[in-house]
Amino acid sequence: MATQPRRDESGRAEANKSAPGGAASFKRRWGGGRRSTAAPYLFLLPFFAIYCTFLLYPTFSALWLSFQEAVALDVPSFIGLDNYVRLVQDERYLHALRNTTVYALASVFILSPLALAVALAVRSFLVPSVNLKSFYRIALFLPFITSFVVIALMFSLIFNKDFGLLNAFFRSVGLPELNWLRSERLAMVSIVLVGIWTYLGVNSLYFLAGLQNIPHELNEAAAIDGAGRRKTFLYVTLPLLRPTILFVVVQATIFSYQLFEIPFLLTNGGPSDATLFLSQYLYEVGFSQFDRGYAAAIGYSMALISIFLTVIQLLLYRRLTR
Amino acid sequence: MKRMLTRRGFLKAGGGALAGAYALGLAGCGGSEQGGSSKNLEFWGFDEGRVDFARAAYESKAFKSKHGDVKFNFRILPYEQMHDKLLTALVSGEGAPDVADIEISRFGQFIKGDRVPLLGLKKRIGDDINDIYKPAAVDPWSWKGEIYGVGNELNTVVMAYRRDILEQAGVKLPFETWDDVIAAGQEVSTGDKRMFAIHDLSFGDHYMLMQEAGTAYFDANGNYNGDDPRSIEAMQFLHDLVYKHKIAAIAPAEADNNWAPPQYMAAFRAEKFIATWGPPWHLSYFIDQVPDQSGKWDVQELPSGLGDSRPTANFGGTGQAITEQSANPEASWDLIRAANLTKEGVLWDFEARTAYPAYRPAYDDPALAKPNEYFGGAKIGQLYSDIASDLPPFRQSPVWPDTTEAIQRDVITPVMNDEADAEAALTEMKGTVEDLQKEQ
Repeated sequence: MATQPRRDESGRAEANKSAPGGAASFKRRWGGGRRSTAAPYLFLLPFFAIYCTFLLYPTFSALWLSFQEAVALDVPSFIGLDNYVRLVQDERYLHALRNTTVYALASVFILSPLALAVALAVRSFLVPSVNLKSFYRIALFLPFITSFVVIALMFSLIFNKDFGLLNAFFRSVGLPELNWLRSERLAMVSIVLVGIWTYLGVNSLYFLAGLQNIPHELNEAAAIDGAGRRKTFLYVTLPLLRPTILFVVVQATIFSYQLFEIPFLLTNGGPSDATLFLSQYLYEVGFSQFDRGYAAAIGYSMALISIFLTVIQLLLYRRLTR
Repeated sequence: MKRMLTRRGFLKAGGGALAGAYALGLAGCGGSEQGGSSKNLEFWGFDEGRVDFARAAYESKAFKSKHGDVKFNFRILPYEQMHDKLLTALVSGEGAPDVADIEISRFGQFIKGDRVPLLGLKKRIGDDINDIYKPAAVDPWSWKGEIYGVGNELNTVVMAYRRDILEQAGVKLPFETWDDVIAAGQEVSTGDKRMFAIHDLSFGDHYMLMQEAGTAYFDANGNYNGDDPRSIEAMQFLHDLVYKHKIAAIAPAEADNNWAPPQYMAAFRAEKFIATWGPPWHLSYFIDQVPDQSGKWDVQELPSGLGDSRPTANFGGTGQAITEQSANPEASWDLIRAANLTKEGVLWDFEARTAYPAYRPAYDDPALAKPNEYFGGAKIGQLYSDIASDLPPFRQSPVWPDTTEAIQRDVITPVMNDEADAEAALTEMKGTVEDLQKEQ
């Protein structure tokens, strides 16, 4: 009774010998008479089926939709590139693009350097205890895993003009109160501040991981050669952090062009479109105006912008590391 | 023979089972009839109180006597999500409920394009149409001569004020004109206290007062009418209440709750504001959230002096509609009828949410004529029914949601923050609305 498995094993060995790369090999690969070889594909099947149904199909379907006029329940009709031409003539789209780009620039040029500074501080002598470092790592990660709804609710209270925490502080030090979320000038600043609070920690952790990968000997060698802290940072640490910097910057850029929840909940794009982001405009066009074709074109424009900026950053990185 | 289950064998069987289950699941997605069968129906709503209202109609004799074997599954989804999901289900042709609550300002989305995905109710309503106030009960859910939804609320706008504070200041009540209101407001507006809180993130205040003045955002032909001189007068008046007469301040509202968030009600509790205007649902916030001021308030019709000086306006409401995917339109309609076109149905909602009915046969019920304790014993029901015949018609448009959003963004917010001129902003809006209409 225990001979059956042995026969299987010997049979497989025979097939391998007799026809490598031939019909037997095909059968082996696709499981004809050799059930065991199909197993990996079966394991992968659920993932690929889900991937195709919920990602690939909507992606290509949206691409096709972006070339159609599909308003409300009317039958869609092919209109070529008209939706994309409309993008460059649509003032609200251009306004949203401008707002999103401002936020992306703030993410890259304010948030990322701040995150690096925090990572350096956590790694430096300022936080010497190992236990305390673990605490900082957890504390830095918490905002990132907090629900956007909770973050928006919390900051709507902090930014409240009449009884918000921020204005209470301003009052206490004799500064004038500000209308954080209702002033056209300040609303974007408020959104950027929330973005910094949310992503500063996780970006610091990326930098912290990058810093930990830099061999300590290099810093020691630089110190022996007479380099001070500043020079060591500029000529040793920073160049070796380039991959991390690239990763953080690419992430920040992509996240910026996908930003939706915070401005939607905090300002709803207002006042007077001062915080209208591309993703919210897409939502408005898609679900309020119910212009599905144009909404798909907006979505693709966002994807193309993100890809374009990422390629630019990669090319820049290559040039810098050459 | 006893075969051992090997690890590989187990994993293979598991993988196969998963793939099979997934394939079956996918196949199952498209196969089932909406609602399971014509006896199992679905109702979607976004407000717990309104879903309870529908549930009460389902439990009523009027419904049970006809459809004792029909079961309704009542679902509550968040406001935006429910409307978005409903639209998506109607576009995809799958997954819509039998009956849904559609809020007045979202109905425009359902009449875009040539095909309305809801069932026409005009024939079903029949002669009952003569028993309801159309501007409140059916006009907001009507398009091109057909009726697609029925609402139960008579959203007549009235003014409410703190009688105790105003009498203490020597003000003669009730107000006859807006000039009287301004004079009184100047008496009581001191320090950070003001008479009114005017919204700068919602079109509501302007929409109510422009109706008092005799106009609306769209005319009878569906053309933009926001640049009508009476609309401009109403907008300028709201601006002046804040910046010229200084008897109002900007309402403490926020983006995700632009009408009456907690801080808005807190300001009334703290007596920072002492008067308001709005429909019954607006006044019900005060009863629920400012209970310690019970008996100190009073109500009256809108004062005269703006445009045509109508004594009321129409603001808000939600209607019940049957989707084209309904598996049992007859039972769906009978639910709507039991809720909105029977005395039992509308009185249930009056008791539960103080929603004054648009169904006239209920008016002889003593419950509606009872003095209201919160509003100083005023017979508020009598007031609503007295002014109901003055309700202006509601003119629906496929671009209503986009238009009001644009007006909020480009007129209300800048004008109420003293950053734009009312006339210029409302006139420029014409081009924006015409562009929106062209895109339909």
